[in-house]
This record gives sequence, structure tokens and C-alpha cells, in this order.
Amino acid sequence: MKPPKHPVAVSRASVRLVRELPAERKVGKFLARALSDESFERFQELVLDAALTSLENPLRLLTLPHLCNAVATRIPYLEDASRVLLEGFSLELVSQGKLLRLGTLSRELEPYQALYSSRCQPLVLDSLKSLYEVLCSETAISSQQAAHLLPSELSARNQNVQIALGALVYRGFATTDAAPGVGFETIRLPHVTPQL
Amino acid sequence: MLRLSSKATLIGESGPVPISELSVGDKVLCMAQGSPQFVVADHVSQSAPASAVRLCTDAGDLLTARDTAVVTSAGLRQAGELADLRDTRAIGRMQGSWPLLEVLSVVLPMRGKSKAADLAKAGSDCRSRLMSLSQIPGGQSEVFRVGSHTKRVIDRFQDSVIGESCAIEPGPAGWSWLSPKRPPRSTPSRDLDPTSMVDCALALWQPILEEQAYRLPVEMEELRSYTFTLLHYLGVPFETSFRPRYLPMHVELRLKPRETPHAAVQAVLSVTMNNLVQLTLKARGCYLIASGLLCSQ
Repeated sequence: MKPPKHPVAVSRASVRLVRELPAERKVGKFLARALSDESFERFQELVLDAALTSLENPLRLLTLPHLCNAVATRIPYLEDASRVLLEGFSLELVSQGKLLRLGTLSRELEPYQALYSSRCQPLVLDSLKSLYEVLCSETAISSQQAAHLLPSELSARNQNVQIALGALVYRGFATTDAAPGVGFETIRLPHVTPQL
Repeated sequence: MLRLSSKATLIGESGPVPISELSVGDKVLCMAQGSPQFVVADHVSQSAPASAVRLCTDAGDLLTARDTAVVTSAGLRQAGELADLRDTRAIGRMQGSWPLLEVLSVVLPMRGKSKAADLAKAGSDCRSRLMSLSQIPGGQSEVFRVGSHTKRVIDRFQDSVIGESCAIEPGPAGWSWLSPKRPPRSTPSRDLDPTSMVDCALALWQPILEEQAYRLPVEMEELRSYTFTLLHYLGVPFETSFRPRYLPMHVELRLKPRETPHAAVQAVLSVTMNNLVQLTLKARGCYLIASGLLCSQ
């Protein structure tokens, strides 16, 4: 049996294969095995490269499952037993400060965190600050206005715009009159009469 | 070297004070030879961006530069050392063999003529800080953000802090907003007693109604740090839980004693900080109390 190139989750690989892999680590919720300790380090580097490519070209803010999917498509010949480890390796990048998190709200108004590259931190945070300043002066912002206000790197994807608007509502700086499931058509300052 | 997040809260002579408001010559609470003492700040300045560590514990959290020492049950440890104690063989998991951290757990010295005078000053200071922490820009009027609490809690906040009756707008994501029908009073109608201080600070958190607990997004560091320091200052026992452990998204707070008098580390996160404040104390051999935890220069 050909040894795997990347670490594998013990529960997702054959017993025979696992017996041939001496190096063992916990990765997220899985116990993982690999040919050597270096295999884990090499795979971590691969995940980092793929994650940065996924998040920076173009700039994207992604949930953890979406990021794992994006990373998986960028690593050739990734077996399912290795693919399930992507979540753990991605979380490791968060703890190292290489990926950052932005708390926001989903279309259903449920809180979640979007991940983005630490290299994009100034752009993301400055954009949120500018968006909030405009909201304070205009009292309401539509998603179309937000798309014009945000830097082109960020507004290229509508999902990024929704995440930015959701982040202001999540922190209690703004509110929305939309029902859950609709998304952020318009956000406004609290106690400002909605414009119908 | 003491370098802390600019949103950290220390304890000044009249109660919790953000480190960002500290000036040279101000006094801050420290522990010296096991006793609480107010020590003069000798030097306060902005620090250059640096690698930092957020220590999340069951007694609150603290964000310091990697080279700032924290008092632990195993002696002084730099925050960076604590970050390195994370089990590197557990990838994407928050586990490690961290020592317990020392927490402020003594009765504080009173500086004024009497305990009553001190508490009155602390109550007045607390009221203005809660107003400032809850206020967000509104359209035509001032707007205050609170958690979506019961009417009783919100009434208490508007009576004790804003001092005027308010229109309430409930919102999504656990927030409600208050808009005073008349401008808020500049002076309180009555002193904010310790129980009211705690109730009003927690009114700014989101309630977890089923279990008498409170929640706050992890991004809201300033309010969180103030609340933890206020609770430590008033000697109110509390326990915090950063969830989920690996990727803390919010912190939960319960008013109940912790299992040990020390703080148990729950998560250690490495971050790069642009806003660190460097502080030098006039006295040596004392430990600064920041967000209730003990640090050393």
C-alpha cells in the first residue's frame, strides 16, 4: 500500500494504513497519523498557502467550513481522510494569528465568525470604521450604498458587503428592519425612523 | 516591562479606570508583599505595535505584550511563555499545561474619609462610565445600547444611569436601544450603590435568560474589561467562560464563585497589537492589577 502524502485521520483511514504511520498528533477533533512529524508541518504550510490564496485573491471573508472547502480545492489529490483535518489545521492558523476573525450576523441574524487573512486586517478594519462613520452621518445605508462605499477589494463580492453590514448590527451599532432570512438590504441607526 | 492593551482596566483611587485615561502621577492598585497598595504611575506611553497574547481565563481575560510578566501559581511567567505552553502536538485544539493565574482576592484599602464616601465617588464614576460605554451615535438624540433584558432590568438602568425615562427599541442579536425622552441628567438622582453598579453594568451585557447568565461578543473588550474589573473591585464572585474554547466568539459570565481562588486558563491566543500602553510604576517589587489579574514590570 502506497503511504499517504499527507496526514490522515485515524478514524477515516484503513487500519492497515494507520499501522504504517508512526507519527501521531491530535488535529481538531481527530486523532491523526502521518509518516513523520515533518509531514504535519509540511501539511500545515500547504494549508496556510492555500488559505491565503483563497482569502486574498480576491479578498474574501469566509466561514470556517467554506474556507476548508476552498483550501481542499487547492490541494491536489487530497484524500477524504486528510480533508477532514483541514478544520483543525485552519484553526491552528487562527491561534497563530495568521488568520483573523470578524464577528457578524448571518441572513438569519445568527452570529458567526468570518475568517480573513491577517495581511488584510488594516483594510477590513478601516473599511468597517469608514462604513460606520457614513452610517452615523446618513443614519441609514443600503447594501448598494455600502458596496460603493467599501474599497473595491472588499466590495467585489456581495458576501463581503453583507458580512460588513452584519458586523455593525452584531456589535449593536446598527439595526435592521428586515426579517430573518432576507439579508441586509438596509441597516440604520437605532431610534431613527425607517424610510419607507 | 508592562505593556497592556489600551482597553485594559486598572483600579484607580476612585474605582476602575481604563489604562488609556491614566496619566503620570495617577495612582493604581497593586499588590505589594501580599497587601493592596496604590502605587504612582511613573511613566505612561503608547507602545509600538508588538506581538501580544490574550489570556482567556475563568476570571476574565487579559491582553498583554508577550514580554509582560503575569503572576502565576508557578511564579512570574511572561505572557509569551504561557502562549508557548500550549500543546504544540495538539493542532487546532486549545490544550496545554498552564499554571493557575493569581487574581485580586483581598479587601481593598479605602482612600477617602469613610467607606461611604469612597463608594459614593465610585458610584458616580461608575454611572458616567456606564453611560459612555453604552452610548452610541443616534440620529437626533442620544442612544444607549443595552442587552435585551426584562423591563425591570432596563427600568433600573434608565433610572440609575440615564436618569430619565426612555423609549425602547428592541433589536436583533440580543440588543435593545434606549432613547431618553429628555436629555440625560448630568448629576445622578441618587447614589449608585454597589448592587446597582453591578446590575447596571450587567444590563449592558446580553442576558442568557434560561440560566441567569450574561453574554458579550468577544470583540467588545472595553466593556468586558470594565465589567470584570468592577466585579473584582466590589468583591462580587463571578466565573467566565470563553466559548467555543478554540475560537472564542463570545464570553459568558455567571455570578457565582469559581472553583478555585485562582484563575484557570481556558484559551491563549496570539495577536499583533497596535494599541498597547506601556506603564512603569514608581515602586518596585509590586504587582499591578489589570482586569483583576496580577502583572509585573
